[in-house]
Amino acid sequence: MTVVAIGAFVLCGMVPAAALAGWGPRALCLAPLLVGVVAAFSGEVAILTETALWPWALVALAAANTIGARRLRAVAGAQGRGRRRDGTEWVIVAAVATPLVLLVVPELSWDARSIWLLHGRWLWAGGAFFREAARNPAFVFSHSTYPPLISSVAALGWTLAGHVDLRLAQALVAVLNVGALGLIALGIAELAPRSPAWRRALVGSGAALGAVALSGRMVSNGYADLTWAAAAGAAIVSLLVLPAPRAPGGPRVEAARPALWAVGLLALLAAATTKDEGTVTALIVLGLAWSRHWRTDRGWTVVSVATALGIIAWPVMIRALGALEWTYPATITGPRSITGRFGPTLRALASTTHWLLLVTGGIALCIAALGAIGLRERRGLGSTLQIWIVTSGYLCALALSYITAKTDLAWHLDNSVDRTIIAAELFLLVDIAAWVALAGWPETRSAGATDRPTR
Amino acid sequence: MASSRRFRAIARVTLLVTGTLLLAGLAALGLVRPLRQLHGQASTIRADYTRLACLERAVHRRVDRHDRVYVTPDVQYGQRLVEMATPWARVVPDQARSTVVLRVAAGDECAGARVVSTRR
Repeated sequence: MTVVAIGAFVLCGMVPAAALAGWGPRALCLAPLLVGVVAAFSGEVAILTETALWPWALVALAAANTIGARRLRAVAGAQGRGRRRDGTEWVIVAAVATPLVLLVVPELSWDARSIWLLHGRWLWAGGAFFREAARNPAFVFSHSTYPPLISSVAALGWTLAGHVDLRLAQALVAVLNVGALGLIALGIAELAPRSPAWRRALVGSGAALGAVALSGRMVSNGYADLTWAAAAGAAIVSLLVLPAPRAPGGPRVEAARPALWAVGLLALLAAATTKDEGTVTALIVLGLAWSRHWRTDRGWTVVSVATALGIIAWPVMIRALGALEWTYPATITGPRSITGRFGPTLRALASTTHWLLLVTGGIALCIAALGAIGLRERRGLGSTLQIWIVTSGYLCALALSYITAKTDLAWHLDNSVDRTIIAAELFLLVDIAAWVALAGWPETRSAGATDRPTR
Repeated sequence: MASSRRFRAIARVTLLVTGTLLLAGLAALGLVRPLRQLHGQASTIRADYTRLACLERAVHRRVDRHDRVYVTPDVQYGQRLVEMATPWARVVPDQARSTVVLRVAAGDECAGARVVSTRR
Protein backbone atom coordinates (compact mmCIF):
# COMPACT_ATOMS: atom_id res chain seq x y z
CA MET A 1 0.00 0.00 0.00
CA THR A 2 2.86 2.35 0.81
CA VAL A 3 4.32 1.94 -2.66
CA VAL A 4 0.93 2.49 -4.30
CA ALA A 5 0.29 5.63 -2.26
CA ILE A 6 3.73 7.04 -3.07
CA GLY A 7 3.20 6.25 -6.75
CA ALA A 8 -0.17 7.99 -6.70
CA PHE A 9 1.36 10.95 -4.84
CA VAL A 10 3.97 11.48 -7.55
CA LEU A 11 1.69 10.65 -10.49
CA CYS A 12 -0.91 13.22 -9.35
CA GLY A 13 1.64 15.95 -9.98
CA MET A 14 3.36 14.60 -13.07
CA VAL A 15 1.16 16.20 -15.74
CA PRO A 16 1.23 19.77 -14.36
CA ALA A 17 4.91 19.32 -13.52
CA ALA A 18 5.62 18.20 -17.06
CA ALA A 19 3.68 21.19 -18.39
CA LEU A 20 6.10 23.41 -16.48
CA ALA A 21 9.36 21.51 -16.89
CA GLY A 22 8.81 19.09 -19.79
CA TRP A 23 8.59 15.33 -19.49
CA GLY A 24 11.65 13.91 -17.82
CA PRO A 25 13.60 13.83 -14.58
CA ARG A 26 12.90 17.48 -13.75
CA ALA A 27 9.15 16.85 -13.82
CA LEU A 28 9.67 13.75 -11.69
CA CYS A 29 11.45 15.84 -9.06
CA LEU A 30 8.96 18.70 -9.29
CA ALA A 31 5.82 16.55 -9.04
CA PRO A 32 6.07 15.77 -5.28
CA LEU A 33 6.64 19.44 -4.45
CA LEU A 34 3.74 20.46 -6.66
CA VAL A 35 1.39 18.01 -4.96
CA GLY A 36 2.80 19.16 -1.61
CA VAL A 37 2.01 22.81 -2.34
CA VAL A 38 -1.49 21.91 -3.55
CA ALA A 39 -2.00 19.83 -0.40
CA ALA A 40 -0.74 22.66 1.82
CA PHE A 41 -3.10 25.25 0.38
CA SER A 42 -5.94 22.74 0.37
CA GLY A 43 -5.18 22.19 4.05
CA GLU A 44 -5.34 25.92 4.68
CA VAL A 45 -8.74 26.14 2.98
CA ALA A 46 -9.98 23.08 4.89
CA ILE A 47 -8.96 24.61 8.20
CA LEU A 48 -10.46 27.97 7.28
CA THR A 49 -13.78 26.43 6.23
CA GLU A 50 -13.74 23.67 8.87
CA THR A 51 -14.17 21.02 6.21
CA ALA A 52 -12.31 17.89 5.11
CA LEU A 53 -8.96 18.21 3.35
CA TRP A 54 -9.32 15.69 0.58
CA PRO A 55 -12.18 17.28 -1.46
CA TRP A 56 -10.22 20.52 -1.79
CA ALA A 57 -7.06 18.68 -2.75
CA LEU A 58 -8.99 16.57 -5.24
CA VAL A 59 -10.53 19.62 -6.94
CA ALA A 60 -7.19 21.49 -7.00
CA LEU A 61 -5.27 18.53 -8.39
CA ALA A 62 -7.97 17.87 -11.00
CA ALA A 63 -7.80 21.52 -12.08
CA ALA A 64 -3.99 21.46 -12.19
CA ASN A 65 -3.97 18.28 -14.24
CA THR A 66 -6.58 19.60 -16.68
CA ILE A 67 -4.73 22.86 -17.26
CA GLY A 68 -1.42 21.00 -17.41
CA ALA A 69 -2.69 18.51 -19.98
CA ARG A 70 -3.95 21.34 -22.22
CA ARG A 71 -0.64 23.17 -22.09
CA LEU A 72 1.57 20.14 -22.24
CA ARG A 73 1.78 19.62 -26.00
CA ALA A 74 2.81 23.17 -26.88
CA VAL A 75 5.13 23.56 -23.91
CA ALA A 76 6.78 20.19 -24.47
CA GLY A 77 7.41 21.08 -28.11
CA ALA A 78 9.02 24.39 -27.21
CA GLN A 79 11.17 22.90 -24.49
CA GLY A 80 12.27 19.92 -26.51
CA ARG A 81 14.28 22.02 -28.95
CA GLY A 82 17.99 21.79 -28.37
CA ARG A 83 17.65 19.96 -25.08
CA ARG A 84 20.46 17.54 -24.41
CA ARG A 85 19.11 14.01 -23.99
CA ASP A 86 22.11 11.92 -22.98
CA GLY A 87 20.70 10.43 -19.82
CA THR A 88 22.89 12.52 -17.52
CA GLU A 89 19.85 13.98 -15.82
CA TRP A 90 18.58 10.50 -14.99
CA VAL A 91 21.97 9.63 -13.54
CA ILE A 92 21.79 12.75 -11.36
CA VAL A 93 18.30 11.92 -10.13
CA ALA A 94 19.33 8.32 -9.41
CA ALA A 95 22.34 9.53 -7.40
CA VAL A 96 20.26 12.01 -5.41
CA ALA A 97 17.61 9.35 -4.76
CA THR A 98 20.15 6.92 -3.29
CA PRO A 99 19.58 8.06 0.33
CA LEU A 100 16.06 6.66 0.02
CA VAL A 101 17.59 3.32 1.02
CA LEU A 102 17.53 4.72 4.56
CA LEU A 103 13.79 4.15 4.52
CA VAL A 104 14.43 0.51 5.39
CA VAL A 105 14.66 1.74 8.98
CA PRO A 106 11.35 2.99 10.44
CA GLU A 107 12.78 6.13 11.97
CA LEU A 108 10.47 8.93 13.07
CA SER A 109 11.99 11.18 15.68
CA TRP A 110 10.34 13.75 17.96
CA ASP A 111 9.57 16.53 15.49
CA ALA A 112 8.21 14.07 12.98
CA ARG A 113 5.79 12.39 15.36
CA SER A 114 4.96 15.22 17.73
CA ILE A 115 4.67 18.05 15.23
CA TRP A 116 4.24 17.08 11.61
CA LEU A 117 2.42 13.79 11.91
CA LEU A 118 0.37 14.93 14.89
CA HIS A 119 -0.83 17.87 12.81
CA GLY A 120 -1.37 15.34 10.01
CA ARG A 121 -3.70 13.44 12.34
CA TRP A 122 -5.60 16.66 13.04
CA LEU A 123 -6.00 17.37 9.33
CA TRP A 124 -6.90 13.77 8.61
CA ALA A 125 -9.78 14.26 11.04
CA GLY A 126 -10.80 17.47 9.26
CA GLY A 127 -10.38 21.24 9.37
CA ALA A 128 -12.71 21.65 12.34
CA PHE A 129 -10.68 19.18 14.39
CA PHE A 130 -7.48 21.01 13.43
CA ARG A 131 -8.86 24.35 14.62
CA GLU A 132 -9.98 22.90 17.92
CA ALA A 133 -6.69 21.06 18.45
CA ALA A 134 -4.58 24.11 17.58
CA ARG A 135 -6.36 26.02 20.38
CA ASN A 136 -6.10 23.13 22.84
CA PRO A 137 -3.51 23.76 25.60
CA ALA A 138 -2.95 19.99 25.77
CA PHE A 139 -1.26 20.21 22.37
CA VAL A 140 0.82 23.28 23.07
CA PHE A 141 4.01 21.19 22.88
CA SER A 142 3.29 20.61 19.21
CA HIS A 143 4.00 24.04 17.66
CA SER A 144 0.41 24.41 16.46
CA THR A 145 1.29 27.40 14.28
CA TYR A 146 3.82 25.57 12.10
CA PRO A 147 2.98 25.54 8.35
CA PRO A 148 0.91 22.69 6.94
CA LEU A 149 2.71 21.17 3.93
CA ILE A 150 4.07 17.98 5.48
CA SER A 151 0.99 17.48 7.64
CA SER A 152 -1.29 17.93 4.63
CA VAL A 153 0.75 15.50 2.53
CA ALA A 154 0.64 12.92 5.33
CA ALA A 155 -3.12 13.42 5.79
CA LEU A 156 -3.72 12.98 2.06
CA GLY A 157 -1.62 9.81 2.03
CA TRP A 158 -3.55 8.43 4.99
CA THR A 159 -6.84 9.27 3.28
CA LEU A 160 -5.68 7.14 0.37
CA ALA A 161 -4.44 4.38 2.66
CA GLY A 162 -7.56 4.50 4.80
CA HIS A 163 -5.72 4.69 8.12
CA VAL A 164 -2.91 6.51 9.92
CA ASP A 165 0.25 4.95 8.53
CA LEU A 166 3.45 6.40 9.99
CA ARG A 167 5.70 4.49 7.61
CA LEU A 168 3.84 5.93 4.64
CA ALA A 169 4.24 9.43 6.05
CA GLN A 170 7.96 8.84 6.58
CA ALA A 171 8.32 7.74 2.96
CA LEU A 172 6.31 10.69 1.62
CA VAL A 173 8.51 13.20 3.46
CA ALA A 174 11.61 11.45 2.14
CA VAL A 175 10.22 11.66 -1.41
CA LEU A 176 9.63 15.40 -0.91
CA ASN A 177 13.24 15.78 0.27
CA VAL A 178 14.68 13.88 -2.65
CA GLY A 179 12.48 15.77 -5.11
CA ALA A 180 13.68 19.15 -3.85
CA LEU A 181 17.31 18.02 -3.78
CA GLY A 182 16.89 16.68 -7.31
CA LEU A 183 15.69 20.08 -8.52
CA ILE A 184 18.82 21.68 -7.05
CA ALA A 185 21.05 19.09 -8.71
CA LEU A 186 19.37 19.42 -12.12
CA GLY A 187 19.44 23.21 -11.95
CA ILE A 188 23.15 23.28 -11.14
CA ALA A 189 23.88 20.76 -13.90
CA GLU A 190 22.05 23.02 -16.33
CA LEU A 191 24.62 25.72 -15.63
CA ALA A 192 27.25 23.55 -17.30
CA PRO A 193 25.61 22.45 -20.55
CA ARG A 194 28.89 22.15 -22.45
CA SER A 195 30.78 20.15 -19.86
CA PRO A 196 31.30 16.39 -20.14
CA ALA A 197 28.45 14.32 -18.79
CA TRP A 198 30.44 13.08 -15.78
CA ARG A 199 31.25 16.64 -14.71
CA ARG A 200 27.68 17.78 -15.05
CA ALA A 201 26.55 14.80 -13.02
CA LEU A 202 29.20 15.47 -10.41
CA VAL A 203 28.60 19.18 -9.92
CA GLY A 204 24.85 18.62 -10.02
CA SER A 205 24.64 15.86 -7.49
CA GLY A 206 27.59 17.16 -5.43
CA ALA A 207 25.63 19.98 -3.81
CA ALA A 208 22.54 17.87 -3.22
CA LEU A 209 24.41 14.89 -1.77
CA GLY A 210 26.60 17.30 0.19
CA ALA A 211 23.44 18.52 1.89
CA VAL A 212 22.59 14.91 2.71
CA ALA A 213 26.09 14.47 4.14
CA LEU A 214 25.62 17.51 6.37
CA SER A 215 22.11 16.64 7.50
CA GLY A 216 22.71 12.93 8.06
CA ARG A 217 19.58 10.83 8.48
CA MET A 218 17.31 13.85 8.26
CA VAL A 219 16.60 12.94 4.66
CA SER A 220 14.48 10.02 5.83
CA ASN A 221 13.43 10.54 9.46
CA GLY A 222 10.37 12.68 8.85
CA TYR A 223 11.92 16.00 9.87
CA ALA A 224 11.03 19.10 7.86
CA ASP A 225 14.36 20.93 8.11
CA LEU A 226 15.91 19.44 5.00
CA THR A 227 12.59 19.66 3.14
CA TRP A 228 12.25 23.41 3.42
CA ALA A 229 15.97 24.03 3.01
CA ALA A 230 16.13 21.97 -0.18
CA ALA A 231 12.98 23.59 -1.56
CA ALA A 232 14.43 27.03 -0.83
CA GLY A 233 17.70 25.93 -2.44
CA ALA A 234 15.81 24.84 -5.57
CA ALA A 235 14.08 28.23 -5.64
CA ILE A 236 17.42 30.01 -5.28
CA VAL A 237 18.87 28.07 -8.21
CA SER A 238 15.85 28.76 -10.43
CA LEU A 239 15.22 32.39 -9.50
CA LEU A 240 18.62 33.78 -8.53
CA VAL A 241 21.32 31.63 -10.14
CA LEU A 242 20.11 30.43 -13.53
CA PRO A 243 19.93 33.12 -16.22
CA ALA A 244 16.88 35.33 -16.45
CA PRO A 245 14.77 34.06 -19.37
CA ARG A 246 14.25 37.47 -20.92
CA ALA A 247 17.45 39.24 -19.92
CA PRO A 248 18.62 41.26 -22.96
CA GLY A 249 21.87 39.87 -24.29
CA GLY A 250 21.94 37.32 -21.51
CA PRO A 251 23.51 33.92 -21.89
CA ARG A 252 21.53 31.24 -23.64
CA VAL A 253 21.41 28.03 -21.67
CA GLU A 254 18.79 25.37 -21.81
CA ALA A 255 17.03 26.50 -18.68
CA ALA A 256 16.36 29.95 -20.12
CA ARG A 257 12.61 29.75 -20.35
CA PRO A 258 9.75 31.42 -18.49
CA ALA A 259 8.68 28.07 -17.01
CA LEU A 260 11.83 28.27 -14.93
CA TRP A 261 10.16 31.00 -12.90
CA ALA A 262 7.14 28.84 -12.26
CA VAL A 263 9.39 26.03 -11.02
CA GLY A 264 11.25 28.47 -8.78
CA LEU A 265 8.09 30.03 -7.39
CA LEU A 266 6.59 26.60 -6.73
CA ALA A 267 9.70 25.57 -4.82
CA LEU A 268 9.52 28.87 -2.95
CA LEU A 269 5.93 28.20 -1.90
CA ALA A 270 6.92 24.69 -0.84
CA ALA A 271 9.66 26.09 1.39
CA ALA A 272 7.32 28.72 2.85
CA THR A 273 4.53 26.27 3.66
CA THR A 274 6.86 23.72 5.26
CA LYS A 275 8.42 25.54 8.21
CA ASP A 276 8.53 29.00 9.81
CA GLU A 277 12.19 29.45 8.86
CA GLY A 278 11.20 28.62 5.30
CA THR A 279 8.57 31.35 5.36
CA VAL A 280 11.12 33.99 6.32
CA THR A 281 13.70 32.72 3.82
CA ALA A 282 11.11 32.53 1.04
CA LEU A 283 10.27 36.20 1.53
CA ILE A 284 13.97 37.12 1.32
CA VAL A 285 14.45 35.08 -1.87
CA LEU A 286 11.26 36.52 -3.36
CA GLY A 287 12.45 40.07 -2.69
CA LEU A 288 15.79 39.37 -4.36
CA ALA A 289 14.13 37.64 -7.31
CA TRP A 290 11.84 40.62 -7.78
CA SER A 291 14.80 43.02 -7.72
CA ARG A 292 16.53 40.84 -10.33
CA HIS A 293 13.65 40.35 -12.76
CA TRP A 294 11.17 43.22 -12.52
CA ARG A 295 13.01 45.47 -14.96
CA THR A 296 12.99 42.85 -17.72
CA ASP A 297 9.49 41.66 -17.04
CA ARG A 298 6.91 44.03 -15.56
CA GLY A 299 4.65 41.09 -14.77
CA TRP A 300 7.08 40.14 -12.03
CA THR A 301 5.65 42.69 -9.64
CA VAL A 302 2.19 41.16 -9.86
CA VAL A 303 3.62 37.64 -9.59
CA SER A 304 5.73 38.62 -6.60
CA VAL A 305 2.82 40.23 -4.76
CA ALA A 306 0.62 37.18 -5.40
CA THR A 307 3.37 34.83 -4.21
CA ALA A 308 4.02 36.94 -1.11
CA LEU A 309 0.33 36.79 -0.25
CA GLY A 310 0.44 33.01 -0.64
CA ILE A 311 3.47 32.87 1.65
CA ILE A 312 2.06 34.98 4.46
CA ALA A 313 -1.47 33.54 4.25
CA TRP A 314 -0.72 30.72 6.71
CA PRO A 315 1.01 32.63 9.53
CA VAL A 316 -1.69 35.31 9.44
CA MET A 317 -4.57 32.85 9.23
CA ILE A 318 -3.45 30.41 11.93
CA ARG A 319 -2.82 33.16 14.45
CA ALA A 320 -6.12 34.84 13.62
CA LEU A 321 -7.82 31.53 14.35
CA GLY A 322 -6.36 31.60 17.85
CA ALA A 323 -3.78 28.81 17.60
CA LEU A 324 -1.57 28.68 20.66
CA GLU A 325 2.09 29.63 20.33
CA TRP A 326 4.71 27.29 21.74
CA THR A 327 6.11 28.60 25.02
CA TYR A 328 7.60 27.00 28.10
CA PRO A 329 7.69 29.96 30.48
CA ALA A 330 7.88 27.71 33.54
CA THR A 331 11.11 26.12 32.42
CA ILE A 332 13.03 29.24 31.50
CA THR A 333 16.46 29.30 33.07
CA GLY A 334 19.37 31.60 32.47
CA PRO A 335 19.06 35.00 30.83
CA ARG A 336 15.59 36.29 30.09
CA SER A 337 16.40 39.68 28.65
CA ILE A 338 17.10 39.98 24.96
CA THR A 339 20.52 41.48 25.60
CA GLY A 340 21.35 38.66 28.00
CA ARG A 341 20.36 36.02 25.45
CA PHE A 342 22.33 37.55 22.60
CA GLY A 343 25.75 36.28 23.62
CA PRO A 344 24.74 32.69 24.49
CA THR A 345 22.82 32.42 21.22
CA LEU A 346 25.78 33.45 19.10
CA ARG A 347 28.11 31.19 21.10
CA ALA A 348 25.75 28.24 20.69
CA LEU A 349 25.33 28.90 16.98
CA ALA A 350 29.10 28.90 16.63
CA SER A 351 29.81 25.91 18.87
CA THR A 352 26.95 23.69 17.74
CA THR A 353 27.55 24.42 14.11
CA HIS A 354 28.82 21.37 12.37
CA TRP A 355 32.52 21.50 11.58
CA LEU A 356 31.61 20.84 7.98
CA LEU A 357 29.77 24.17 7.85
CA LEU A 358 32.87 26.02 8.95
CA VAL A 359 34.88 24.18 6.31
CA THR A 360 32.14 24.72 3.74
CA GLY A 361 31.82 28.38 4.61
CA GLY A 362 35.57 28.92 4.35
CA ILE A 363 35.76 27.10 1.05
CA ALA A 364 32.69 28.93 -0.24
CA LEU A 365 34.40 32.23 0.49
CA CYS A 366 37.55 31.13 -1.36
CA ILE A 367 35.51 29.76 -4.25
CA ALA A 368 33.51 32.98 -4.48
CA ALA A 369 36.73 34.99 -4.54
CA LEU A 370 38.22 32.76 -7.23
CA GLY A 371 34.99 32.96 -9.20
CA ALA A 372 34.86 36.73 -8.93
CA ILE A 373 38.40 36.91 -10.30
CA GLY A 374 38.45 34.10 -12.84
CA LEU A 375 34.89 34.19 -14.08
CA ARG A 376 34.23 37.90 -14.15
CA GLU A 377 32.14 37.70 -17.31
CA ARG A 378 29.84 35.07 -15.79
CA ARG A 379 29.03 36.69 -12.47
CA GLY A 380 25.48 37.29 -13.64
CA LEU A 381 24.95 33.57 -13.47
CA GLY A 382 26.75 32.65 -10.30
CA SER A 383 24.91 35.28 -8.30
CA THR A 384 27.15 34.63 -5.31
CA LEU A 385 26.20 37.93 -3.75
CA GLN A 386 22.51 37.09 -3.71
CA ILE A 387 23.09 33.64 -2.20
CA TRP A 388 25.20 35.20 0.55
CA ILE A 389 22.46 37.77 1.19
CA VAL A 390 19.90 34.98 1.57
CA THR A 391 22.23 32.99 3.85
CA SER A 392 23.06 36.01 6.01
CA GLY A 393 19.43 37.10 6.16
CA TYR A 394 18.36 33.63 7.25
CA LEU A 395 21.05 33.39 9.93
CA CYS A 396 20.08 36.82 11.30
CA ALA A 397 16.40 35.82 11.41
CA LEU A 398 17.37 32.55 13.11
CA ALA A 399 19.46 34.26 15.77
CA LEU A 400 16.66 36.78 16.34
CA SER A 401 14.12 33.99 16.80
CA TYR A 402 16.29 32.34 19.47
CA ILE A 403 16.92 35.62 21.24
CA THR A 404 13.28 36.66 21.38
CA ALA A 405 11.71 33.22 22.00
CA LYS A 406 10.05 32.68 25.38
CA THR A 407 11.90 29.44 25.99
CA ASP A 408 14.76 28.01 27.96
CA LEU A 409 17.53 29.18 25.71
CA ALA A 410 20.07 26.44 26.43
CA TRP A 411 17.47 23.71 25.98
CA HIS A 412 16.12 25.32 22.82
CA LEU A 413 19.55 25.67 21.27
CA ASP A 414 20.67 22.18 22.25
CA ASN A 415 17.62 20.67 20.62
CA SER A 416 17.52 22.60 17.39
CA VAL A 417 20.65 24.39 16.23
CA ASP A 418 22.08 21.34 14.51
CA ARG A 419 18.94 21.22 12.37
CA THR A 420 18.23 24.89 11.79
CA ILE A 421 21.75 25.43 10.51
CA ILE A 422 21.29 22.94 7.65
CA ALA A 423 19.70 25.53 5.38
CA ALA A 424 22.70 27.85 5.61
CA GLU A 425 25.01 24.95 4.80
CA LEU A 426 22.93 23.96 1.82
CA PHE A 427 22.81 27.49 0.41
CA LEU A 428 26.60 27.72 0.59
CA LEU A 429 26.89 24.37 -1.18
CA VAL A 430 24.66 25.71 -3.94
CA ASP A 431 26.96 28.70 -4.27
CA ILE A 432 30.05 26.52 -4.51
CA ALA A 433 28.47 24.16 -7.03
CA ALA A 434 27.23 27.05 -9.18
CA TRP A 435 30.72 28.54 -9.43
CA VAL A 436 32.30 25.17 -10.19
CA ALA A 437 29.71 24.52 -12.90
CA LEU A 438 30.44 27.90 -14.50
CA ALA A 439 34.20 27.35 -14.31
CA GLY A 440 33.79 24.44 -16.70
CA TRP A 441 32.51 26.67 -19.49
CA PRO A 442 34.87 27.11 -22.46
CA GLU A 443 36.88 30.34 -22.23
CA THR A 444 35.27 31.93 -25.30
CA ARG A 445 32.51 34.41 -26.00
CA SER A 446 30.74 31.88 -28.22
CA ALA A 447 28.99 30.50 -25.19
CA GLY A 448 26.95 33.67 -25.26
CA ALA A 449 28.19 34.95 -21.94
CA THR A 450 27.93 38.65 -21.44
CA ASP A 451 30.45 40.97 -19.87
CA ARG A 452 27.76 42.56 -17.79
CA PRO A 453 26.00 40.72 -15.05
CA THR A 454 22.42 39.99 -16.02
CA ARG A 455 21.03 40.93 -12.65
CA MET B 1 46.86 42.74 -19.91
CA ALA B 2 48.39 39.34 -20.64
CA SER B 3 49.36 38.86 -17.00
CA SER B 4 45.84 39.76 -15.95
CA ARG B 5 44.46 37.18 -18.35
CA ARG B 6 46.91 34.58 -17.06
CA PHE B 7 45.96 35.41 -13.47
CA ARG B 8 42.29 34.93 -14.28
CA ALA B 9 43.01 31.65 -16.05
CA ILE B 10 44.90 30.36 -13.00
CA ALA B 11 42.01 31.38 -10.75
CA ARG B 12 39.54 29.63 -13.03
CA VAL B 13 41.55 26.39 -13.19
CA THR B 14 42.08 26.43 -9.43
CA LEU B 15 38.38 26.92 -8.94
CA LEU B 16 37.57 24.14 -11.39
CA VAL B 17 39.94 21.58 -9.87
CA THR B 18 39.40 22.29 -6.15
CA GLY B 19 35.67 22.73 -6.59
CA THR B 20 35.26 19.51 -8.53
CA LEU B 21 37.29 17.59 -5.95
CA LEU B 22 35.27 19.13 -3.12
CA LEU B 23 31.95 18.26 -4.73
CA ALA B 24 33.14 14.73 -5.46
CA GLY B 25 34.10 14.34 -1.80
CA LEU B 26 30.78 15.74 -0.63
CA ALA B 27 28.84 13.48 -2.98
CA ALA B 28 30.70 10.44 -1.65
CA LEU B 29 30.14 11.61 1.92
CA GLY B 30 26.45 12.09 1.20
CA LEU B 31 26.18 8.50 0.08
CA VAL B 32 28.15 7.03 2.97
CA ARG B 33 27.59 9.19 6.08
CA PRO B 34 23.85 8.59 6.65
CA LEU B 35 24.37 4.84 6.25
CA ARG B 36 27.24 4.88 8.72
CA GLN B 37 25.17 6.88 11.20
CA LEU B 38 22.33 4.42 10.89
CA HIS B 39 24.46 1.32 11.22
CA GLY B 40 24.53 0.32 14.86
CA GLN B 41 21.43 2.33 15.75
CA ALA B 42 19.11 0.55 13.37
CA SER B 43 18.14 -2.24 15.78
CA THR B 44 17.37 0.26 18.57
CA ILE B 45 15.29 2.40 16.24
CA ARG B 46 13.41 -0.65 14.96
CA ALA B 47 12.69 -1.86 18.48
CA ASP B 48 11.43 1.57 19.55
CA TYR B 49 9.24 1.84 16.48
CA THR B 50 7.81 -1.64 17.01
CA ARG B 51 6.96 -0.83 20.63
CA LEU B 52 5.30 2.46 19.72
CA ALA B 53 3.39 0.90 16.81
CA CYS B 54 2.15 -1.83 19.12
CA LEU B 55 1.05 0.76 21.67
CA GLU B 56 -0.70 2.72 18.98
CA ARG B 57 -2.68 -0.30 17.87
CA ALA B 58 -3.62 -0.99 21.47
CA VAL B 59 -4.74 2.60 21.97
CA HIS B 60 -6.86 2.49 18.83
CA ARG B 61 -8.60 -0.64 20.06
CA ARG B 62 -9.53 1.02 23.32
CA VAL B 63 -10.47 4.60 22.64
CA ASP B 64 -13.31 6.29 20.82
CA ARG B 65 -14.70 9.81 20.59
CA HIS B 66 -16.34 9.51 23.97
CA ASP B 67 -13.04 8.91 25.72
CA ARG B 68 -10.86 11.51 27.25
CA VAL B 69 -7.14 11.20 27.64
CA TYR B 70 -5.16 12.32 30.61
CA VAL B 71 -1.48 11.61 30.84
CA THR B 72 0.41 11.58 34.10
CA PRO B 73 3.75 13.32 33.78
CA ASP B 74 5.71 10.35 35.08
CA VAL B 75 4.63 8.07 32.28
CA GLN B 76 7.43 7.45 29.84
CA TYR B 77 5.26 7.45 26.76
CA GLY B 78 2.87 10.11 27.98
CA GLN B 79 3.19 12.54 25.15
CA ARG B 80 3.33 9.71 22.65
CA LEU B 81 0.04 8.48 24.06
CA VAL B 82 -1.58 11.81 23.36
CA GLU B 83 -0.38 11.52 19.79
CA MET B 84 -1.55 7.94 19.45
CA ALA B 85 -5.00 8.68 20.79
CA THR B 86 -5.42 11.54 18.30
CA PRO B 87 -7.86 11.98 16.64
CA TRP B 88 -9.90 9.14 18.12
CA ALA B 89 -10.07 10.35 21.68
CA ARG B 90 -10.80 13.78 23.03
CA VAL B 91 -7.59 15.13 24.46
CA VAL B 92 -7.99 17.53 27.35
CA PRO B 93 -5.45 19.64 29.21
CA ASP B 94 -3.68 18.44 32.33
CA GLN B 95 -5.98 20.37 34.62
CA ALA B 96 -8.87 18.02 33.85
CA ARG B 97 -7.62 15.31 36.15
CA SER B 98 -11.08 13.91 36.70
CA THR B 99 -11.19 12.53 33.19
CA VAL B 100 -8.40 9.98 33.34
CA VAL B 101 -9.10 7.35 30.76
CA LEU B 102 -5.87 5.95 29.47
CA ARG B 103 -2.64 5.31 31.21
CA VAL B 104 0.54 3.72 30.02
CA ALA B 105 2.65 1.88 32.54
CA ALA B 106 5.83 -0.14 32.46
CA GLY B 107 4.93 -3.77 32.20
CA ASP B 108 3.58 -6.36 29.91
CA GLU B 109 2.25 -5.55 26.49
CA CYS B 110 4.23 -4.02 23.67
CA ALA B 111 7.72 -4.89 24.88
CA GLY B 112 7.75 -2.80 27.99
CA ALA B 113 4.58 -0.75 27.98
CA ARG B 114 0.96 -1.53 28.71
CA VAL B 115 -2.26 0.27 27.89
CA VAL B 116 -4.94 0.37 30.54
CA SER B 117 -8.33 1.83 29.83
CA THR B 118 -10.50 3.19 32.61
CA ARG B 119 -13.58 4.81 31.22
CA ARG B 120 -15.58 7.09 33.52
